[in-house]
Amino acid sequence: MDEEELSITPNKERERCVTGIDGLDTILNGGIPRGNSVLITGSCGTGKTTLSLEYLVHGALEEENCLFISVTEASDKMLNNVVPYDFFDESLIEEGYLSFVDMPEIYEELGLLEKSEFSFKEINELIEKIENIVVERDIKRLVIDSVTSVCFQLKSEEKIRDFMLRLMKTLSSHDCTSLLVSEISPEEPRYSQYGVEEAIADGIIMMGNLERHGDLLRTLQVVKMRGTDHSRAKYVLDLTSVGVLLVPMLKGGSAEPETGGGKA
Amino acid sequence: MIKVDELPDKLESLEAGSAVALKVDVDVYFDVITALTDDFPRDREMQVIYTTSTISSSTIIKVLNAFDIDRDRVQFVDAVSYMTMGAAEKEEGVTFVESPTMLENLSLKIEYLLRKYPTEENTVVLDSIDSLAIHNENRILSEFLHILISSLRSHECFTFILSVSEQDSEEIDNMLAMVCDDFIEVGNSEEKEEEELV
Repeated sequence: MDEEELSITPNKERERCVTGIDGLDTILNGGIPRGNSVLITGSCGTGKTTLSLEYLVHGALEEENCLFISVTEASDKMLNNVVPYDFFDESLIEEGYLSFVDMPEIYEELGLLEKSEFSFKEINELIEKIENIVVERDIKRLVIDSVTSVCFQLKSEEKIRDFMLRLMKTLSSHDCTSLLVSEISPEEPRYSQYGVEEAIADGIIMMGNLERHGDLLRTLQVVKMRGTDHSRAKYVLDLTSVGVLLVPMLKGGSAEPETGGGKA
Repeated sequence: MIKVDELPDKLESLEAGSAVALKVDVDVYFDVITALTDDFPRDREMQVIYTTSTISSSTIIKVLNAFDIDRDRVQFVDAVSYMTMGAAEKEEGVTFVESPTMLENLSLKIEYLLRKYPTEENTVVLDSIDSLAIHNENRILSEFLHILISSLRSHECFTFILSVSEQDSEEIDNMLAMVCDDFIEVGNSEEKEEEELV
């Protein structure tokens, strides 16, 4: 191994995957470092799916191939319920920049549909299948909604760790920047259902509901993001037809304990 | 103090990105609204985002209609109607915020309208700081104004923050002096002078 191979350049700026969500790109100093796998975590109704889908639409508009893997809900049904974006164009789907796959179809293909628990071998096959899709379609942005539902069928912490590590390594090796949606219950004092996902992920974006004097505000906070400096402040967000909008959360008011997003 | 008929000239002299506190006598309140939603933006083809936490947007719309003011250029952010339970009816050009305590949501709705209807020049009216002060602590209110005005300056918006002279408060005046470039008192000074003489 020569000297050049050993050299470390810690200040080298990593290439960014610009999310296209202005406020989020500002928080992240320009976007998600390319190849990172980011946990989008929060309880129901906090905007995880909407934010993830907008991330893909912006990528598709930039002519990057983007894939949404829907685990819990059929993608056509899911699409009917998301905010109709002003900037969305059906041709993004027709031209293949934006595609949807339902995980049950993958399970069926692999003979996993009726299985209540996957073996290590089956986890391997699942990851290989996802990798094949990513490679065949040259996917640069991926969303799995939700990774919690996949982990539900892995049962043990060891299998979840193995699945998450291999999935993230695989996606990163293909320069694919992924958002892995993680569902937690409102009272959950952690960032993921099984506690393993949060430790392995390159980034954690926490979405929550903050109750303040009887008002319920949607919030977003970047807890961790490897490869970039970022704000760790909490922001209030709105899901609109022009996309997700963010403003800093006002600190002058006292906050009651948070619901639907865990940590206050 | 300036007379209300001097207000249009005063507004014309402002530069884009200005934040102005308008302290208004209650008897010229609707004249000031007319100046901000009609006289000032008309020739510039400017969009007006009118944020109300004082009286409902439907009441202001009735006033604009009565004065035959073109409503197309005015978008409302109504933070009072929901609070009155049931008064918030869907209407073209009106966006509702559940409560005047949801200050971040006021900012978000303004941001939304700026993006949804992009125009070269925009006016944002906050009516009024007094009514927001009823529902919010001064600390959070001044933080809100600081962030909102900084954001609107970056959009080069004209920002007008209304307060009513009759609800005078030193704390509110100080808050406005901190964040605004200009402080204009508007009244019917002739009438006042006459009252003083009597």
